[in-house]
Parts: sequence; structure tokens; C-alpha cells
Amino acid sequence: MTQTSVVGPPSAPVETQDPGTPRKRRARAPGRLGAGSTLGLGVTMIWFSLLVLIPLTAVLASAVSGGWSGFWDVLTNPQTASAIRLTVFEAMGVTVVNVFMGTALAWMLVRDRFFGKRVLDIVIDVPFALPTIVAGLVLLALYGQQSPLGINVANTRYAVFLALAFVTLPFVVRTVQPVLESLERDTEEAAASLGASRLATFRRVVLPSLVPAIAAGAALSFARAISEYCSLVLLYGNLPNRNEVASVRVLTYIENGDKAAAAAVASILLVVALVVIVLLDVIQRRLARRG
Amino acid sequence: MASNKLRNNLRDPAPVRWGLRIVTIGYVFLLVAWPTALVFKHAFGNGIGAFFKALQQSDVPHALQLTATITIISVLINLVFGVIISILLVRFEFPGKRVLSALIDVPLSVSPVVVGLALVLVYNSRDGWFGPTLDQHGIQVIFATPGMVMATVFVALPLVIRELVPVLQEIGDDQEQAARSLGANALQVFRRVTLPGIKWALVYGVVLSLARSLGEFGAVKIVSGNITGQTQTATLAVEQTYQNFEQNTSYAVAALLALSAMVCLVIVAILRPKESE
Amino acid sequence: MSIKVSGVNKKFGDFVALDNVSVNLPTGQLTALLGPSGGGKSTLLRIIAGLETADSGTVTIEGHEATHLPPQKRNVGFVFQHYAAFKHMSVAKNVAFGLEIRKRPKAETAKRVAELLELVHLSQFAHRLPAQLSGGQRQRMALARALAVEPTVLLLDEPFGALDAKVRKELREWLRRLHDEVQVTTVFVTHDQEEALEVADEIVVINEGRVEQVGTPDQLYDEPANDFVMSFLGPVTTLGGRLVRPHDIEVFTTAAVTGAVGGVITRQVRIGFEVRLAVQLDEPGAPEVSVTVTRATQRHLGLEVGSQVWVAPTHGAPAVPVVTPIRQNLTA
Repeated sequence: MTQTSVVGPPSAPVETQDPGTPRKRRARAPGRLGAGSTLGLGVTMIWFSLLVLIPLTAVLASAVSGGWSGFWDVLTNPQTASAIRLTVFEAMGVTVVNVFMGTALAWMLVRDRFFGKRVLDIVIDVPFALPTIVAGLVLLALYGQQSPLGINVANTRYAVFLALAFVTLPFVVRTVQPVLESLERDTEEAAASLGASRLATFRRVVLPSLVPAIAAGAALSFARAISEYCSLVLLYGNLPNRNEVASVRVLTYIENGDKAAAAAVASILLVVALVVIVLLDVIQRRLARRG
Repeated sequence: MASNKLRNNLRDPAPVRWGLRIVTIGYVFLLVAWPTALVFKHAFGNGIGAFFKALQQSDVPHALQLTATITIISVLINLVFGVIISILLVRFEFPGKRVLSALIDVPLSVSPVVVGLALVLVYNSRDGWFGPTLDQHGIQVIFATPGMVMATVFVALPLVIRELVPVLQEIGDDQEQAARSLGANALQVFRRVTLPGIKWALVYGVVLSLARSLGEFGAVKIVSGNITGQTQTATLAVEQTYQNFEQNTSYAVAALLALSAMVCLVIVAILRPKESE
Repeated sequence: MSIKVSGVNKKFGDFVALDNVSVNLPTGQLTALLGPSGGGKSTLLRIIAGLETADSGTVTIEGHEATHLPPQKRNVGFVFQHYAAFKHMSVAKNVAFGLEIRKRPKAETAKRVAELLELVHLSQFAHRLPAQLSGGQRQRMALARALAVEPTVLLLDEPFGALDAKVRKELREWLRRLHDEVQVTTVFVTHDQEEALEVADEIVVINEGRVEQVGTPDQLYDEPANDFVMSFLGPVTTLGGRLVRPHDIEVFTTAAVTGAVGGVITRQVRIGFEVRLAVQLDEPGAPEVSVTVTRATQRHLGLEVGSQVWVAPTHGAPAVPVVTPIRQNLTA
């Protein structure tokens, strides 16, 4: 899931050259565009513009269509501000939980052997595969009014947290897992023979190698949590100032016909999304440098 | 030469292992496994007949049909453009390539609600940027199937590309150059050399898009107007029937969607090891 | 005795990696564990390091019982085939790792790291990341890292296996000089007989989980214990039911010599100063014999394809009876 720099050079083969000679074999220069591919590029760019670029630009344009003061007024509206605060707060909380749980799960899936591991591996993907509206319904089944556990969190802030934790569960697991799998066990053995205890080895050798993956997973999880709407629909109960999240605010503004205000809140979400993408790209580059 | 599998010295001590197992499995069980199982219990609790009867309620059949139509069209569009964009990104050099490759990922992290709003702002027929012009030519995008398809394509856009790009990079262009030197034209090179190489990644990407398209809700809700019997998709029907206290129907549709998604998931699980070999 | 291994057995599932292995490796020496891949030599090294536990048997290091000690407490330096560099740390940090774990004073650590980087000629790369080094440089860094903690023994697992031929040759000469300088008991695993013969004071030949022979390079080469050791240490050919080295066969153009066997040269390849001949013996059903002669001999005797010759082993040349003919030319 960390594959963001989609156009980086192919990974260099295991190099075995003598010291001094240049290490990297240069990848063959990408081809120039011929007539056919120019046409392909043109059609693609037009399609991409109509679908993605122009609409997203429209969001930013509408956000400031009423001037910066209009934009600012929307965001400082108590109800909106409280929704944004709640969203950021919950998204951060969920991300922290994911960092710990996701890393632990990935660790266990790679390093442990136990009955039912394969099932666990599949269950972790359920939140990815399940239509998110179903995710909301799923959580209501256990934590709603008919809860067999007697826990009813419907229409509370806990419901928001639960829904966000559900839909973002796989991100950290799935970014950390492959890195952990490809980690050379030799390095841990080297640390052990150099006298490092298990804990010291984990903290000083394993964890630093996982940090970029954890960060990438956390970024994805945060972005998803902050923009989540669908799984909350059945859970949130529409209580302004209490458990309304930013996406719901956008929808409310749309339903009230106030597109400029909707765009103002939406632009915040959009900017967060773009920041996350840039962040992932930076992580990817740093990793590439480490080799 | 002990293989990695046989190295026991790196296994965690038993207390650590059991602690991790109990905490994480408990977490996944309470958060995902048990609740998901309950939905199926509710859906099939009254027998398979009741399940199908619930699916016949009100406008559910129409909603399911609409979802199927939109999903198929969206997946096809994403398949074609996904292949073209991936090949352009990996094999060619052109201005704006870096920006394009970064923007491809936007739909993954942007809220579907924002996507819906963005499309409405441009294509609504009252005051959209292009909407009124399109309307004059008799094309309605928002509150109609084209808009819903666009919204679905948008949210599932990166899935095919993210599968294809690494594979295309991995296989390199040696074989394509060889084919070209043997006299194959661009189409023949693609069909006989490139396509077999990316086949599994393509299938994987399509399956992921399929699952994503089936389940899209937020973006579609905004662009569709959610008109029962006209622009209501299956996911919208789940919401509406639940809020109308037709919970049996709601659970049945949800279970059907979940099952379809699970089938996708199982296909992916079966394909995955093949891909890594 | 510095390292004493007695009666060690190790199985991986059904696969017997080590079968009742006992060896004594003396202090201060450079010993090679030599054998084909999968023969158990790496497993033995890992058991000495504590990275693998023996099913039965004991390991003593410098008189201390170490069989059940974890790797952290054995004070061994271990160098891996694929370097096992800590990728997120600079070269200097990699070397300092063991010292930092031992909580040595900062100044002392810095001084020791500088010395070691000097020793392995990496001083100017101290602040680079391992990814910015070549394979040979990374392996030298790994060596410095292992030496930093002043280990009782230094263990190297195919240390040059991932490097290309030229660097490998340079590094092994360098390892020999380094060992003479540092004088730490060193054991290295290799499947390259040339490497073992060139570098080691003593060689332990291991095959199929058993020790085939222990001895100095000369002993092994001149007095191989069996056909396996003979064929693993260099090219061999069969002559008169015995394994002989191709360069230990004399070629005559007359039948005058007693014991010489007649045959016809069927192929001839010249590689620099040596010439390799294939001789088909007259005796029906006899295998083809490989013979290596110098360019001068070939010219002097006027040898060419089709020449009738007589061949006999040189007097006093090592030879062992053929037991399993399949192993012939294993390393030729």
C-alpha cells in the first residue's frame, strides 16, 4: 500500500561489484511518445481532467468564492469548528490505536505460527472488502440497540471511534507486514551476537526499519479516518456539536443548498488528503535512499 | 543452511507470544469477526426463503440492478484507462508525469463526500461549470447514471494502476523491445508480450475495483439524489431501509453486498500466492 | 583448545544437518570449514555462535561451557554472507553498535570505532549509509563491527560468497593479513577450496553432516583421507582404478615405461601456460583420462590430437581408490 512513487526506477539488482565502480545500473531511458501513445496520453489527460482535476479545482474555487472572510466564517462557525475538531481528534486517536494494534498484528502474522493464522489474515481484509455502509450495519449489530453484549454505543462519540477503527484496521497491518517479511533475519542475529538483548534488538534494529512503513500506514489510516462518512451514516444519529464529523458537515451544507460552505469544509479534507500523499512520497524516497 | 522458516532462535518467548495473540486476536474478533458474523446471522436467521423474500421488498431489485450496471461500467472504464495510464507512466516520458502519478493516489485518501461535491460543482445542470451546457444538449450528469458512474470510477481509479505499475516496472521492457525487433507492431506487442506479463496483476486490480465499486456510498449518495426506484443503489437502499425500520431487508441487502465482496476477497486470496511465485 | 565441539547432532525435520560432529579449533588460528553447500558447515558455525541450538552434544569456548548460552553471552563476532548491515545506521554507528550495547564511555567508543575503520580502510566512509557502499566495503564494515567488541572468536559465514571473483580474491588476501595483525581465533565457512587452501591455517572438510578430514592445507592436498576430500580439493581423473590429479600424470611418447597405459589424444585445449588433454585409453571400456601438461612439455613432445601416447601417474603423487565415480571432476 505504500507504492506511491509509481515512476521510480526499477530496483537495482543485488550488486556485487568491486569498490569504486559505479553501483547502479542505469535503467533504460523511457521511450519517447509516438503517434499512438500521444493520442493515448491526450485522451487520458482529457478524461483525467474531466473526472479529477477540474472537479477538485472546483471545490477549491467554490471554497473561496465568497472571499477569504466567507471561507473563514464557515470554518469558525461553532458547529463546523466542533465537527472538524472532533474529526481530527478521533482520527488521531484511531491512528494511534492502529499504530500499536497494526504493528502487533503484522508482527504476529509474520513471526508467530498458530492455528487459524490464515483465517486471521483474511479477516483483517474484511474492512477493506466490505461495503462501508455494511460496516456501519455490522457494528450496530454488536454495539447497537440489540447488542448481545449489552453495550449500546449508537449515536455516541464511541460509535464514531469504533467505525473509524473498523474501516482503518488493515492500513498499518498491510503496510508493515511486507516490510517485516522482507526484513533480513541476519541483522537481528548480528545484533544478538553483538550482545544486544531481544528488546534492544527490537528497539534499535527492527523498529527503525519498520518506522517508515508504520508512518505510511498511519498516514493512510489518518487520511481515511478524517474523510470517513459512509460507515458513520447509520451510527452517528446527527447530533450537532456532539458527534458530527467533518464529512457529515459537508453533506449537511449540500443538503441545505450552501455549496460554498460545503466546499470550504471539503477543501480542508482535500488539503489533508494532498498532504498525506506528499508525505507518503517523501517516505518512499527516504526508503529508496536507504536501499 | 537453515532456511528462515527453520530458525527458531528468533521466535518470541512464550509469554510475549501469548500476550500478543490474546490482545490482537481479541481486538480483531470484537471489532471485525463477531460483528460481521452477526449481520449474516440476522440476514439468514429466518431461513434462506426469508432472505430472498426480503430482497424482493419495495425497490430493492431495482437498486441491485442499478448497482450491477454501474459497477460493470465503472470497472470497464477503470480497466481501460488503468492499463493506458500505467503503461504511459512506466514506459514513457512526458511533461507532468510526476504530478499525474501523485494525483492518481488522490482518490485513495480524499473523502467520497468531497468527490461527490466536486462532481456536483462542475456538472450540476443549474449552476455547475459545465452542467448547463451539457443540459442544453440533453445530457444530464448529476442525479443520473453518468454522474454515478463518474463518482464510482473516481473512487476506484487508483486500484488497477497501483497493481499494474510495479509489475510493469518489474518485468522491464526487454521483452517488448525484443518483440518489436522481431517486427511486431504496437498492438501485437501489447497483446502477445505485455498483456500475458501483467495478466494476474490486472485480474487482481479488477477484483479490487469491483469490490470498491459495489460498496461505494458517499460519493454516489451526493451525485445521485437518492431517488427511490430511480437512482437508488444497493448501498443507498441499505441506509434507507434501515432508517425506515425495515431491518430484515436492510440486513439482507447488506449480507448480499458483503457476500459479493467476500467472494472478491477470496478470489484475491487465491490469486495472491500465484502472483508472488 | 579455543573452541571444542563434541558429539554435536542437529536435525531440521527429517534432514540431518550434523551427525555426531566433534572438532577442536585451536586458539589464534584461522580455520576454514570447507564443504559443499548443504553439507552442514554453516549449521556448525551457527551452533558455535549460539544462533542455532544443537539437539545434543556440547560446545566449549575458551574453556567455558557454552552449549546453552544465548548468542548475547558468548562474546563471538559473527560475519554474515549478506553483510547483515543495519541499513538505517551510518557505517560508524554500525561499528559502534556492540560497544553502545555494552554501554562503553562515548569517548572510548568513538576512539575504537575510528581505529577499526582505519583497520578496514573505511575511515572516509564513516558517515555514509551501508546502501552507499559496495559489497566489498559493506563486508569490511561488517568485519569491523564484529571485531569492535573484541570477541573471543570471530566466525565468518561464507563471508565472500556474495562478492564477485576479483573482490573476493582481494578480500581473502586482506583477511589473511588482518588475521595475522589481530590474532583472534577465526573460523570461516566456505565452499571454495581455493579460498580455504589459500587463507586457512587449518581446514575442516565437512560433507553430509560429517567431518571428512581435518588438517593443514598441505596435509589435505597431499594426503587426502578419502576420495571425497581428494576430489573436493581440486580436479581429479581416474587412471587404473585410482583417483589422480590431472597434473600428476606423466605423458610419454613411447611404451618404454613400466606401468604406463597406452591411448590416443582425442581433444586438446590450451589455457595460458597449461594444456589440457583428453586421452582415450586403448583398453576397451576404460574411461577417458584428463591430463594437464605445461605448454613446454606439449611442444617438446609434439603432442596433438590423434597422437599415440602412454600415460602413468607421477611417482609419489597422491592417489586414492575410486569409491563413487560420480564425484569425479566435481570441481574441475
